[in-house]
Amino acid sequence: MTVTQQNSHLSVVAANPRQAALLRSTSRFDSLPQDAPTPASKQKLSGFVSRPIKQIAGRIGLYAAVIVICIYSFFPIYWMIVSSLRAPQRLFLDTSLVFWPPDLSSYKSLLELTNYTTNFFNSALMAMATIIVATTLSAFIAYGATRLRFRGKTTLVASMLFAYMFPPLMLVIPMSALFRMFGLSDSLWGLLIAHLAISLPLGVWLLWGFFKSMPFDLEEAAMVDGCSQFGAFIKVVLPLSAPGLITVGIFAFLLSWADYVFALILIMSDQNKTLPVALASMLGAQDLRWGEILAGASLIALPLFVIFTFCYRYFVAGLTAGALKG
Amino acid sequence: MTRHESNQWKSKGKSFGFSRRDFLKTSAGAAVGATGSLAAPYVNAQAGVTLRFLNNETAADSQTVLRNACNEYESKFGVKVIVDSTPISGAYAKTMAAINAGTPYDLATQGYIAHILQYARGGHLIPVTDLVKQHSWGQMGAWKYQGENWFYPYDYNLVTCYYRKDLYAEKGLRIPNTWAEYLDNCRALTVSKDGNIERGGCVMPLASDSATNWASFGNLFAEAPQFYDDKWNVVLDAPENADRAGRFLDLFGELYKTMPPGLNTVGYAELMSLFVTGKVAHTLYSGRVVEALEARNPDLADKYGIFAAPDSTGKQKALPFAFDGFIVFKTKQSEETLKFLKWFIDEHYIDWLHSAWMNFQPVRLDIYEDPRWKKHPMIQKHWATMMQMKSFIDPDSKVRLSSVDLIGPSIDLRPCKVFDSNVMPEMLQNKVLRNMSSVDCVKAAANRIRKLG
Amino acid sequence: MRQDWRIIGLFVGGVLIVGAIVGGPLLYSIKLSFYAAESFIAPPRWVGFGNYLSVLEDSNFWDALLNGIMISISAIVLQVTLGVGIALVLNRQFVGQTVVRALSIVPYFLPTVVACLIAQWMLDPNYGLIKSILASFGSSMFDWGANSATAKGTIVLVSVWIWTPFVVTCVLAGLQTIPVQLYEAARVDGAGAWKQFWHITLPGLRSVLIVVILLRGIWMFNKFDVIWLLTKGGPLNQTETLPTLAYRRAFLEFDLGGGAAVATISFALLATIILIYLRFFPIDEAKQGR
Repeated sequence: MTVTQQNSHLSVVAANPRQAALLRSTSRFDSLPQDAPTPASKQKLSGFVSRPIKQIAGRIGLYAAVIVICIYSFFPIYWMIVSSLRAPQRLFLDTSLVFWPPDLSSYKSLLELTNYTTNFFNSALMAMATIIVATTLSAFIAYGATRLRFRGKTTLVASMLFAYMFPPLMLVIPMSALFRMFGLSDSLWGLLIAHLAISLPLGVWLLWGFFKSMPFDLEEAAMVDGCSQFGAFIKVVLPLSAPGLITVGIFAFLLSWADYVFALILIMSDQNKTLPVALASMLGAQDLRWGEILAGASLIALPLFVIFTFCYRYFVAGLTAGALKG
Repeated sequence: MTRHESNQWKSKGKSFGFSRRDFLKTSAGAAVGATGSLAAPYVNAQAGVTLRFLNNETAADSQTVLRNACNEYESKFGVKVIVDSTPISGAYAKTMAAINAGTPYDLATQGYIAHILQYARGGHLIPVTDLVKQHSWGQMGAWKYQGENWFYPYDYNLVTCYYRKDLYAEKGLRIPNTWAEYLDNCRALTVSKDGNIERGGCVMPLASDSATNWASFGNLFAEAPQFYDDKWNVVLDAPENADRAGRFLDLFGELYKTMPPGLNTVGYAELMSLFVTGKVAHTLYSGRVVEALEARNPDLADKYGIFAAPDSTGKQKALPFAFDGFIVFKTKQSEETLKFLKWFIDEHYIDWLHSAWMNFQPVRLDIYEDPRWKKHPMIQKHWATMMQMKSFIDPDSKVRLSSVDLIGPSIDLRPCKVFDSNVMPEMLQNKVLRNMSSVDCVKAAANRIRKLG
Repeated sequence: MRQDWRIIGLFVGGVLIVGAIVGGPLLYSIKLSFYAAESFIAPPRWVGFGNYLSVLEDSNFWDALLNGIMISISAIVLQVTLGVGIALVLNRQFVGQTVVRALSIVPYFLPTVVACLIAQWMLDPNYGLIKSILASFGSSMFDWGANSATAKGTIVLVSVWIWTPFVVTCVLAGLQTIPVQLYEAARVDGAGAWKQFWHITLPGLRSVLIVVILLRGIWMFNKFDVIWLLTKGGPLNQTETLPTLAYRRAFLEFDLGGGAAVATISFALLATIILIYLRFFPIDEAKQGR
């Protein structure tokens, strides 16, 4: 249970009822599915031998459906990985599901013959910078928006949510023109600005709900002990908000790591491309190399699998709290 | 220009026993040794100057040649040359961005006439007429605009038709002289199984992109309909021209039935790889196919041949083409840029051409006689093909060279717009995807060209 | 209570930065849409509503709008139907439930590029897996990129594969909020599974679904990457939508003003649709369903 308990606090700042309602509804999915009991299905597995045939058939049907869901969700990814592990000369012929023994030559030539390592480094750099800047800045903004007294707080927070829904092209067309004037075109600095523009509103929105739910007593206690408000923020609030910050970090990472539109338009040279664009342009390059393309795609997905395995909870929590990626 | 979207791939050229690096070392060494004393008089470069060079030839070998040349230039003359490599798809945007930001490049590789014209009209280029007139050039190589050369070419990218000699021998086919013969050959070589085409007779891309504009219209150019009259009126749908274009579309409709599926998304990559993997019996491409065969399927590297696209009756042959060259931007240091370009052309032009030995087909005629260029082992191996390619561009060649961006009475931006707005690819799509009659396809295309102005 | 100036400073600074990098471009986009900024070289020239008029006169614009609406609606319908279905299955108890739930979300966090490359690889008409499977049944591969219906269908299917997990997760969360007593009472009354679903589950999910459909609708309408990666708007502009049209105008035809105009119109349309949607499905009321 992480970014979850903000519901009760939302109405506090709800100046405009409809806005507040929208905010509430998007952040209201407030329980982690896997933690929660499943009230609608309390039947136990035990003793189904004695059950009527209808019930057994029901179980079989359920498991069949589960298997279909698994295949549907995961088979395409499995197929990508299997294909990337085939020997290049068999790639176009082989339709077997087995990848043993794996042949790493696609990976080898990917790393040797393309700018993949440079592009990987660019992507990693962008993702890291986006995580750090987006998390820090959105913490400042969200904290200010919950603890400072001023008019238009709701509008500010609501506008964050709305900013997140603007057509990407409405951001990237003017950005490409502006960056051209400021000498930021084809530069990773420009791309960082774009990635911040898509991840900051989301971060503010998430952390705002988080700080909102945090009782003021804690900071007050710290401030009574002689801490400044800033000190209390750093020493008390931030450590307690670690789950929220992690969620923001994960989504900032996802947005930056997976971004195609902004990198496609703002980056031109091979040396500055990030992975998604570099990979997509391999398909249009002069030689069709599916083995290397699939190897590259598998390598992009790899860090995501790792993060997903360890941070599944945060991912689902963030998702149900309104952290969305289009 | 090499009209490909991007070039992520560095061609390693491992397939032949001669290490490129060794070659570069020896030739660079020879050049330094031979010209060390000669070079100084004509290059009075000003130390401390930095030139910026936008390069769109992103193959690793080409980049290496540039890097070596620039390092050498800096160590000799103290002028630093920074090379920025950007695939051709992003080059225009990057050039524009640099001009807008007030920091234009000094020098660039460039192939698309529309862009050169725009820069020239905007007053951003300086002519290279003096450099160009020192040599003789192949067909259309030394084109002028407003009386000046704005462009120092280095290569042609002719779209020749590649065929499989082994398959031709197997079926007893001859090189086609007319559309009917070409169609028969394509049909004879098509292999179908279960309703799928296992091996296509030919490929002609039809997606709305530059690959289609570049490659698909050889047979049309051979039939030579007029697109514009001398006063730039669109006459494509005037009776005789409409007939010619319509006939071409009928041919395309028939050829399409022998092509493998998926052509609507086919780009440069598939044109090459379908041939290299034996999935088609004919393809359309520049010399880079030969490089790809050597690197990826050496078995086929001595079983291919090329020919020019015929017309319907066997009277005329044509080839679509594009070219690449250097342009010099107007900056405070243009004098220095010209000095560098002249030096590069004298010292490294041949290394540069060798970096894509078959794709960089020389435009300058003297290169074909140059022993340094000829001694490249791969050029020697494919000498017959290279000579055939040369015969297409010789000044007395009977083969018509054309391109969608050159279909007007003179070099102008109007045909470039036709190229950019994909009028011609859409004509093909109307024919085979929308099943419109050839007459209507031509009419629609003519009207669209008119609208472009 | 005194306000710490450092907190104020960081807050104001942060807001200014967000304003500059999000608000700035948005305003500039609207400004650009009133200028002809064609070749990039010449300075932009004020043309008033010229760009808008030329966009609205262009039949491609209306086709693109229609395509976008068709693709969005079919994708949303499928995503929601499939999402609710999968969520109902995953809401039952079975061995390995946690693992399967995790697995079912995986497509959602894959980069779109990867998902599209997988789709292209499997659907390749010359080398793809689907072709081999069809061939083993003796049937021939369809050339999906060459036909309007199959090209649109492919875009929809790939979008459904990527974004259904979002619906699943939200619906799973929504299912937890339906009191179990309702089902028990229904069972006592002899209501079958279908009746329970229709009278309890669906009304219980109403508020979740209203928000999910709204959000997915916004994103599908703004979708650029899936379409660009799969079809580039082809064949014959049959899968062109407003985002790809804006991209084509701005970056392939070098008409930044026109591209900005398309983007602005598309945003205005979307805002209108959202307002109408909220009128019919007010979220305030939806809240009471909880």
